[in-house]
Parts: sequence; C-alpha cells; structure tokens
Amino acid sequence: MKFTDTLKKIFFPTEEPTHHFTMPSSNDDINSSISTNVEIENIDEVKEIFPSIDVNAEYIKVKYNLLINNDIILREFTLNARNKQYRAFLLFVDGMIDMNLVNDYVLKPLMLRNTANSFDGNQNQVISEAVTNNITVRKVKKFDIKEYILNSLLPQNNIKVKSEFKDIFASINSGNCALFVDTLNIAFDIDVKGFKLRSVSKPENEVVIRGPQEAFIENIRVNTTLIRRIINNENLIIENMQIGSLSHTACALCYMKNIANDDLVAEAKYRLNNINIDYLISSGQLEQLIEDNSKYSLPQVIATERPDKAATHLLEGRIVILVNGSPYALVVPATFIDFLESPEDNNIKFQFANLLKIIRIAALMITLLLPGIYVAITSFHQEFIPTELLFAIVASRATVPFSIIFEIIIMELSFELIREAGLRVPTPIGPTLGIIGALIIGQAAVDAGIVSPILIIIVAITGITSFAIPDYYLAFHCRVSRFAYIILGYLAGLLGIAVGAFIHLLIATKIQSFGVSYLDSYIPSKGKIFTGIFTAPTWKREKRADFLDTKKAEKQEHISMKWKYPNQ
Amino acid sequence: MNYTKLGNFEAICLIVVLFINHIVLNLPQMILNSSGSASTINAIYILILVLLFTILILKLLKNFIGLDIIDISEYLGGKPLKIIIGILSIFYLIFETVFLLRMFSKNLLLVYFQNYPVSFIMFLFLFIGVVSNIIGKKSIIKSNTIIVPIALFSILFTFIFVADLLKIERSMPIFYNGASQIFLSGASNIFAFNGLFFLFFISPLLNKKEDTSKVAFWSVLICGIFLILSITTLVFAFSDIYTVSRLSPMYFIIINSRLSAFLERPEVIFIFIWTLALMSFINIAVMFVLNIFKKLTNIKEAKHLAVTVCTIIFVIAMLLNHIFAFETIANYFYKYGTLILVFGIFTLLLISANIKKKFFNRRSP
Repeated sequence: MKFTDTLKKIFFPTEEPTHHFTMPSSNDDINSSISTNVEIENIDEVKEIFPSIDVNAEYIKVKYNLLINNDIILREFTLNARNKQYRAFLLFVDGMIDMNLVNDYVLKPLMLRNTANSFDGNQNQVISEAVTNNITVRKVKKFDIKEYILNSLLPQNNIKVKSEFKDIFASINSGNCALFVDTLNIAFDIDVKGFKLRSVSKPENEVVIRGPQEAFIENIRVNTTLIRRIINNENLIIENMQIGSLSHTACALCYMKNIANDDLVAEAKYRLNNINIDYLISSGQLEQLIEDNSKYSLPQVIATERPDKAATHLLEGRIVILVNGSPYALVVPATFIDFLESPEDNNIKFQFANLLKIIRIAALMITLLLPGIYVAITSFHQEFIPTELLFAIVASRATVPFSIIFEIIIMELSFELIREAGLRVPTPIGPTLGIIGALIIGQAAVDAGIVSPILIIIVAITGITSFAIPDYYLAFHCRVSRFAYIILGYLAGLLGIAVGAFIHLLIATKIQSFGVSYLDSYIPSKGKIFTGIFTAPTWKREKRADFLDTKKAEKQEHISMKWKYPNQ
Repeated sequence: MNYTKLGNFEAICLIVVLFINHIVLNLPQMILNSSGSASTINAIYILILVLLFTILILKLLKNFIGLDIIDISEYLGGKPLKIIIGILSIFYLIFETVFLLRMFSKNLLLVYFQNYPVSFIMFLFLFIGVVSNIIGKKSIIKSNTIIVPIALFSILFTFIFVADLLKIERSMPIFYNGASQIFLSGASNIFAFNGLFFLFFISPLLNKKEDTSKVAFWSVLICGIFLILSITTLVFAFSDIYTVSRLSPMYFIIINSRLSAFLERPEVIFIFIWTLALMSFINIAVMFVLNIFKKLTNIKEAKHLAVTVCTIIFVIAMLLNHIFAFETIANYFYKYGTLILVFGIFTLLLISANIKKKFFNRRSP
C-alpha cells in the first residue's frame, strides 16, 4: 500500500461495505411463500413415472434442483435394442455409485453396438405356426423393450422395476442408479452402490481379550453381513424398513424365525413402523423412540457394537435392530442384569465370569451409593465407622471451610467436568487432561484446604467404579442418581438412602422392556434368582430365558458333552 | 379387586411382611412378657392353634372361592354389612400402620436421629407410601417380593450369630408361671399371626385361586418358624430378657451378637433392611386401604387418594405425644384388635355366610 493511500485512509475515511443478514420470518413475504408452496405441492402430487422421457427428465430436474445440485448426474444417451434406438437417461448421485460398474456394466451394454443389442430377433418372433385350409396361423411374440432390457441387456444381479417416483428417489438417495427409457412408464432401479466405507475395525467401547475383534460399522449392509456370517443359519430373518419421512433411514429388524417369539417380533415391527419423525440419525435416537418407559433414565434397550454379542442375543431369542449410519445394534427385550454383562463373560470360564459379575454389581452399588453413604455417616451416623477412621476424617476436614454437602457436590461436579472435558479434547491430550485434573488439581485442592483428602478418595473410587459398569447408559444413570443419594443422605442419613433405594426399586419393578419386566426374572418367586444373575457353565446353559417365551425353550441337550458321557 | 394377579410367592410375602415388622418391633417382647421362660412352648402351641384356625378358615372360604371378605359380607348382609366390614378393615389397616410407623420411628429416633423430630422420619416413610401407590400396585407387590426374603434372611442371620450364646438352662422354669397361663390365657397370643388379615382379602387376587390353601399354610409356617426362632433365641441366649430391653428385641440380639466382632456397628445393615420392610408394609397397607375404599364407593381410580390416606395416618400418629401411653395403646390394639377383627368378626362372618349358603342351597330347587 502506498503512503498516500494510507494518508487518504486516515484523513478521508470511506465507509467499508459491510454484510448484513437478517433471517426473514415466515410472515415477511406472504405472497412469495404461498406461491412456492403451491409449486411444491404440485410437484409432490406427482407419483407415477411418465411414459415421455422429456417429461420425466424435466420433473427430475425440478425435483432434484439439478441446476444448483451438482452431485446429481442425469446422463442422457441413446439406447440400442434390437437394432432400434431409444432415448434414455441414467440418474445417480456422484460419489455414491461405483463408476466402473456403471460404465462397464450399465452404459456399455446399453450404448455400444454389440451382438446383444444389434440382433433384430425377427426369426425368433414366431413362437408357433399352424396351417389349416391353406391359411397359415402364426403366433408371434410381441417385442417388449422392458423385458428385453431386464433380461438381455443389463448384466446386473440386482435390478428392480419401479413405477413410482418416490421409490426411485429413495433408491437414488441410497446409492443406486435409475434408468429411464422413452415410452416406458417405469424405471429400472439398478444396484450399483459404491461409496466409501470405514473398514471393519476393533470394538472401541466393548473390548474383550478372548473374543472376536470385530465391531459394527456405519453401513447397515456390512452390519447385517457381520451377523449373518456368525449365525450362518437360514432361519435368520433380516427385514428392512425405513424410518424418517425425510431421511428415509434404512433400518433392519433381525430375528431368528424358529426361536424368537412371534408376538415379540410383531410388537417390534409395530413400534418401528409407527414412528412418525422427520429424520433418524442414530440408534441412540431410535432407542428413545421404541423404549417402553421413556421418562425413566434406566436403560431399557441393550446397545452393542459387537456382532458376536448381537448374534448371541439373536440365538437366545431376542431381536436385534440395526440403523444405517450407526455402529451400534439395539437388542430387545432387556432386563436389568443384561446391562451388567460383558461380552467377555461367554468367552471365559464361569467362575471368572461370575466373579467379574459380582465385582460389577459391587461397582454399581459403590458408584451409586458411596458418596451418599459418606455424607450420611459423617452427618448422622458417626458411630458406624471405627473411631480411628472417624478421627482421621475429622482431622482431614479440620481446615476445610465448607460444609460436607457443598464439598462433595463441588468435587463430584469437578470430576464430571474433567470427564466431560476429557471426551471433548483431542485424543492425544485427553488422557493428559485426566491426569492433570485428577492429580494436580486434586492435590492442589487438598493443599489449599478446599477439600479433604478422604473426599478425594471417595470421589476417585466412585469415578473408577463407574467405569466398571459395562453399559454406558447404566453408568450414566448411576452418575446422575448419585447426586440424589447425596442430597437424601444429607437430609436424613441412612433413612434418606433407604428412601432413595426404595424409590429406585419401585421404578425398577415398574419398568418393562418390550413386555418383559425389568426385574421379573430375578425375583425369588420365579426361582431364577441364581440362574438369572449368574453365568452358568457352558455345558449347563440348557435353556433359554423364560421371560423370552421362545419357540425353542432348550438351547442344548441335557448332556451336551456326549464325548464324556456317550451312554447318556 | 381387579388389579395385578398374584403368584403364590408374592401372596405369601404379602402376608409375611406384616409379621416381619412386628417381629422386628415388639412381638417377641409381648410374648415374652406374658409367657416368660415358657415362651418357646407357647410359640409352638399358638402355631398349632393357628394352623388349626387356618384349616377352619380355608374350609369356610371353600364356598366363596374368588371372593374376599368384603364380597362375602355383601352376600351375607347386603350393602350395610359390606360398608361396616369395609370401614372396620380400613380402620384396622390404618391403625396397624400408625402404630408400627410410630414405634419404628421412635426406635430410629432413639438410636440415630436424636436431634430430629419424629414427624420428619414418619414423613419420609409416608412419602414412600404415596409415591409407591402412584407408581402402581405391580411395583408395590414386586418390590415386596424382593424385600421380604431379604428381611427374613437378615433375621435368620441374627439368630445364627448368637447361636453360641444359647444355653438350655435359661428355659427354666419350663412352664414359667404354670401350664394354665401357657395354654389357656397364652392362647390369646395367636394375635401374633395378624398377617392372616390379608388372607381374607387375597383370594380374588391369586392367579390360581385354588392355591389359597398353599399360600395360607406356607405363610403361617414361615411366620411360626420365625416366631419360634426369635423367641427361642431371646429366651435361651439372654437371661432376664423380658425385663431388660425397652428397645426392639431384634436390635438387642444384634448388638449382643458375634457380628460385632467383625463389624463396627453391624446393626446398621439390619436396620436398613428392616426400614425397607416397614416401607414395603406401609405401601401394601395404603394399597389395600385404597382398594377397599374403591370397592365401597365404586370410584374409578383411587391411587391419588394415597396422599389423603397417608395424611390421615400421619395425623393420627402425631396425636399422642406420650410414647409409653402410645405403646400401651398400640400393644392393646395389636392384641385385641387382631383377636376381635381377624379371629372374631371375620370368622363369624364366614361361618354365617356358609350357613346362609347352605340354607339357600337347601331351599332353592
């Protein structure tokens, strides 16, 4: 910039052009909005595909806004069939199809002259010929371009004939291409999907040592394949459906036809088919839409990223729901103890599995109740703890200026803050932030006399135990409920804790998951208290869960190890 | 009462929960006061009596399968009798709850909450009563089915830990103040089985109505065994127990048990469990009060009246400030209220209804 320009700018400032944007409200321009609506309504009224290719092309151009929508390709060409030429076009979304597949196996056979499409077939038109009284009667096969394209010109394994635009648009949006031919009031829906996918990788949140190391990905077809590969049985049914009036998200309902209860399958279908929303992005969203009691925060649907876990549940007689775009499968129905089970339980010996399960139950209790009990004991029931420990607590709190309730809530909130921040920061810094939060801030808070060291231990134990709960939602529920227990413990000591526990119990007994009571199978009346909670040895897992009411009650024979007892 | 049907185990728990609360509070003490060192013999004796009574009741109920005492009273005396029996039953349940609640709260107050008003403790119990009835009957029944076995195990556990203190000599004199006191006036101790009150209401609730007898016998047996165990433990383990403790005898057993060697204050776990058991009983009592009221008035939904019922219980429980007077009234009500209503009026009503049925059957062609 010249010096004179700078001087000019200083002494003769000109107003810089600025950009202003105000969001127009729906009332600003009533006329224009009405006219647009009318136009859209007219477009939406069209359902059937027109026989004229020009009308179809125009309609699609308007519908897809082809002038501004650059990834939608409408490729017009001349189709050769039996030495005749037809106008045609191919419609697809750039990036969602396999270009080689379209070029080599769709456009090439249709456009280039070859033996298939240049063969006029006149000699084959006569099906039969009969001569009576010197009159020859010939039965002639009428040439059908639709059949000819379908049977002779397109070497594709998955082609469907569609007569409505909405079906064609749904296919195009999911990565297929559509072939429109002049004079035909149908279109060919050709499966040429070829978009980029994340490869099948290791599970990140359900890690096991002895089990398979595969996890679901975002593509529903890959996920169904992963399940089918494990189950390997023709009775596995995978029903496709779409949810969301705008997103048309593909979902799959999977069940074992010869095992799953028919009423359960019907109920799952009913719920999935009666979800009236604009869009569905994830399985977490679907979970909230299909659960029985949405006002309670206890999880009622199992979410797993492991195909082996999903397959196990399917073989047990449950239903698995997959959502396109989500690497988690939903499993219904679920009972409380399902959320404390790890996929590892089936891979290790039952003694280890049960020990781990007891540890997880203890972890659940600790994460839920420990801070509340600490508050209750220090506020009301000091005599419960050994005198030496009581002195230690009193001494450690001597310099703390806050009340116990304030101190513990501040610490719990800080812990949640560190946890949340650890999730948001980039991966390499995440663990560092946790260590800084836990060690440095904790130590500094103790040194500064803001909190007592014993409280740091309580919060740390609570935090660690919350990670021992296998299900993310259940751990979340405990983290939230913990605050209620802290307040109840402060208000009425152990009586307050008892009040909280009882309300928790009442809610848990009320909850149902697809008609199955949350705690039913573990109530002593059913005689299933031990088999329901603990994992039986592999050779003893003879029956499927009662509450599933499956078509096949038995999983294996009474003697599964025939090699050991050949005569029984 | 057309609500959730009960399985046999659930029904047994429903009957037993009232007994558990009494055994935790004052039942063994009351029997010990009247029968002294012969309390074990008395307990066995009343168990036999109650078993015989149960057989009689079941025989009388056989003609009224699927009906509760309210329906039977309507059959016998029409609407007026139905209303009288319904009101009596509601009164019994409300007062039973009032006395249990107040006495348990008093014990809690003495042990842990010296600086708190008793109203606050009672409020928490009744708050659960309201919440549970709003959440639903199914939850009340199922939560009770979980809590009752835990409470029974906790009681059993306490007996195990005082087993080494048991001495046979403490049962002397075997007949205490004489056999007549054990077998004649001691027969009135059958009030201990006041859980049988629910037996008169349970028949229409059962999944399998023909299982009423199973439910009745099992619940009486469970109550009987635990009664004998608790009394035997107290008599055989502690000399002069019947003059010493003003607090709950079960509490007395725990604080003197070997458990203290392992845990600093083991009673806290037990009190926690028994607190849950009392909460469960209050839920059930309020649920039955509402259902009887619903039956009497034909209202569509009664669950929101839980607030009213709990407020009434709270107000009555707060009426008497003098705790010893309260205890005396409670003990009288527990003993004579049960004897008059459960073993008296209900039984007479059943007998009369059976006679009427027999008479009608003979008259009708």
